[in-house]
Amino acid sequence: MHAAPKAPMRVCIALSILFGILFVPSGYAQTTTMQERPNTWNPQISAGIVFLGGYSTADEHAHEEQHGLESGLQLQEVELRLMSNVDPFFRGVLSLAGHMHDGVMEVGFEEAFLSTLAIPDLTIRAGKFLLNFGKSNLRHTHARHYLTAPMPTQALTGADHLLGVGVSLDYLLPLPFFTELNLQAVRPAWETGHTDDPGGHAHGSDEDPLDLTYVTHLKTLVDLSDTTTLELGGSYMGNQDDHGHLESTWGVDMTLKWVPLERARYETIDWTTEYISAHRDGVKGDGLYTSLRRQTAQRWWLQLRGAILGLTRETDSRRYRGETMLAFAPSERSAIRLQYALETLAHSDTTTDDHHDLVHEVFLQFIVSMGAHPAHAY
Amino acid sequence: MKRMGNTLLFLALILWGSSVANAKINVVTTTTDLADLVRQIGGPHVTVQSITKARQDPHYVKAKPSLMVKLRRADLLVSVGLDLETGWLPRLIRGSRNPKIRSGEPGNLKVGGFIKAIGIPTAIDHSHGHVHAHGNPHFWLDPVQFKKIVSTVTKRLMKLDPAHGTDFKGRAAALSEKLDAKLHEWTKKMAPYKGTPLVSYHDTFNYFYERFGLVGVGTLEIKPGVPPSPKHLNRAIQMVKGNDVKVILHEIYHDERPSKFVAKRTGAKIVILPTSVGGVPEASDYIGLMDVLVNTFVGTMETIAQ
Repeated sequence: MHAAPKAPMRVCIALSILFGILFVPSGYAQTTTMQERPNTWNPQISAGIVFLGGYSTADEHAHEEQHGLESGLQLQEVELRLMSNVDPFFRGVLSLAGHMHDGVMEVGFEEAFLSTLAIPDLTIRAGKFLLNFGKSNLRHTHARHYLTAPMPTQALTGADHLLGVGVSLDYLLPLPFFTELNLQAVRPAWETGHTDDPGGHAHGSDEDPLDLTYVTHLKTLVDLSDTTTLELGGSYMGNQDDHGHLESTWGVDMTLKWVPLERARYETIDWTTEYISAHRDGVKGDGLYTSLRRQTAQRWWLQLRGAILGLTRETDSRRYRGETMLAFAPSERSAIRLQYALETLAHSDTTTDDHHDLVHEVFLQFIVSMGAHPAHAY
Repeated sequence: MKRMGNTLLFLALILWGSSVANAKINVVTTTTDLADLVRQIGGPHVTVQSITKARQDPHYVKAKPSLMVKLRRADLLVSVGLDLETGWLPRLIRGSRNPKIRSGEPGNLKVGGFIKAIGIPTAIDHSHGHVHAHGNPHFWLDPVQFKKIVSTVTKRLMKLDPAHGTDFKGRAAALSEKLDAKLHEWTKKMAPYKGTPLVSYHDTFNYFYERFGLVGVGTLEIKPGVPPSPKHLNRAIQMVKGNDVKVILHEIYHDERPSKFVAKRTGAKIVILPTSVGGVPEASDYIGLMDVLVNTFVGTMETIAQ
C-alpha cells in the first residue's frame, strides 16, 4: 500500500540520476565551450612552469665563484602572466613569478608595466620591466636558449635578470631597415641571485631613490636575403656609485640567422656572438660568448655555446665555460632540454689543485606554457 | 638667390600637391591571396605587399623585425583571421608602432569573420593540437568563400578612400563576374570526381573538398601542428587502404617524407599543391591558383583512371 506509489518515484529518481550521469559530461563540455567566448573580455592569461633537475660537481668542492646551476631538483621558474589592451591608448602587462633560491620559493611581481599603443613610431613604457641590456636579458627564464643566461653576462652584470622600475622609450627609427633605439631610466630592482656576489653589488632598499640607472640599446636588423638576416646590437648601462663615480657596463652583439622560406618549420640556424665589458666598483672585466643553434627537424635543436670571462683583462682568474644542449619541443607549448656544461677556472697562482677547478654539470629541464598562444619570436 | 628660393618653394609645392593627388592606400596583407584580391579591387589606387611569401607556411611565420618596418607606414592591414596568424601578427602590429593598423581600427581588416567557417571545434583543449577556436582558416581554397570577401575588402577600401569608391566597386563587380564564370567551369571539371576519398598532410584543403564534393578522410599529422609518429603513419596507411584513397594531397611547404612513406606502402599518388597565389609560376593570381589546383587534381585522377 505504501510502497506502490513510491515505486514510480524511485524509477523517476533512478532515471534522473541515470540521465544526470549520461548528460552531465556533455553538458559540462558545452559550458566550457560557451565560456571560451565571454573570456575574450578577460586579459590574456598565460602560465609557465620550468622544472629543472640535475647534478653539478661544483657542490663537491664548494666553489666560491661558481655561477652555474645547483644540484638537485628545483622549480627554476613559475610564471603567471596577464596581458591586455587597457583602452585604445594603453596596454598592460603584469607577471607574477616565482624562483627557487636555496630550496625556498620566492614569489613576486616580476614585471608590471603600461605601454602606449597610440603613438606612431614610439612606445613608452612605465612600470617595472626587464632592462634592455645586452642580447639575452629580455628573455625570460623559459625563453632562454640555454638553461642559464650566458656566463659573461651573468658575471659582469651581477644579476640573473636585470629589472628596474622606471620609464622606457622605444623608438623605431625612420629607416628602410629595422633600427630601434631604446632609452631606459630606472631604479634598479634586481637581486644579484648570488649570496657570494663578488662585487657586493646588491641593490637594496638603502639606496637613494634618485640614483637612477640608465640603459641605452641600439638594435638593427638587415635582411641579407629572403632567408638570412644580420642583426647588430649595442647597449650601455650606466649609473653613479655612492661616491659619485660613474659605473658602466657595455656590450656589443652580432647575430646571423638563417630561416629557409618553405622549411621554416623544419630547419633554422642562428649564430650569436656577444662581448660585454664592465667597469664597476667590484666588477671590472670583460667577457665573450658565442652560440650556435641548429634546428635539425620540426621539434629538435642542437646547440653549442662557448664563453670566456676575463678576455683581455683580469687574467689572474680567467674562466671558461662550454655548454651543449639537445632540445626536443613536442609542440609550441612544451620542451624537454638536456644540457651538459663544463666550466674551468684558470688561476695564475697554481697552488690549488687543477683537478678541482673543473666543474661538470648535467641538467634536464621541462618547460610547459599554458593559456595564451606563445608568440613566434624571431 | 630669391628667385631660386621661389623656384624651390614652387617645386616643393608641386611635389606635395602630386603626392596628395596620387596618395595611394598603402596596403599590407598577410598572404599573397589577399594581396592579389586587394590589387584587383584597388587597381592603381593602392600599393600592396604581402608579409608571407607564397611558398611559406602561414602558420609558422616568425615575427621578423624587418616585417615591422613593412607595417609601420601601412594604411590598411588585411589578414585572414580565424587565428591563422595569432602566433606572429599581434607581435608585428605592436612592433610596427603604427596605431592605424591596430585591431579594431579601420586600418585592420580580418576577413575570416565574413565567411562561413567550417571545422569549428566543439571543445577547445590544447591536447587537440594547434586548434583554431573559430574554425578552419584555409577558406580561400573555396572560390565561393573567397568571393564573399570581395565585397568586404571593397567596402573597406571605399571607407579609406571614398574618392575612388565607384572605381573600386566597378573592379569588384568585374572580379565577381569572372569568379562566377570560372566557378562554373571548375565545378564542371570536378563533377566526375564527387565523393573521391582524399588524405592530406594538414587540414588545408577542407574548404576545397566541401566545394567540390570531395571527401577528406583524414590527415597525416596526428593533430594540427603535431608531426606524425611511425605508429600514426601505420594507422594512416590503414586509413588510406581502408577508405580506398588513391590520392594524397600535399602542401608545398610541408615535409614530404610522411606523405612519401604512406604513398610507397599504399600505392597512393602524391599530388603536391600550392596553397597560395605565387606558389607555382602558373598561379600568378587567384584564378590561376584555382586553375592549378583543379587542373592538377583532374589530371592526376585521369592518369589514375587509365
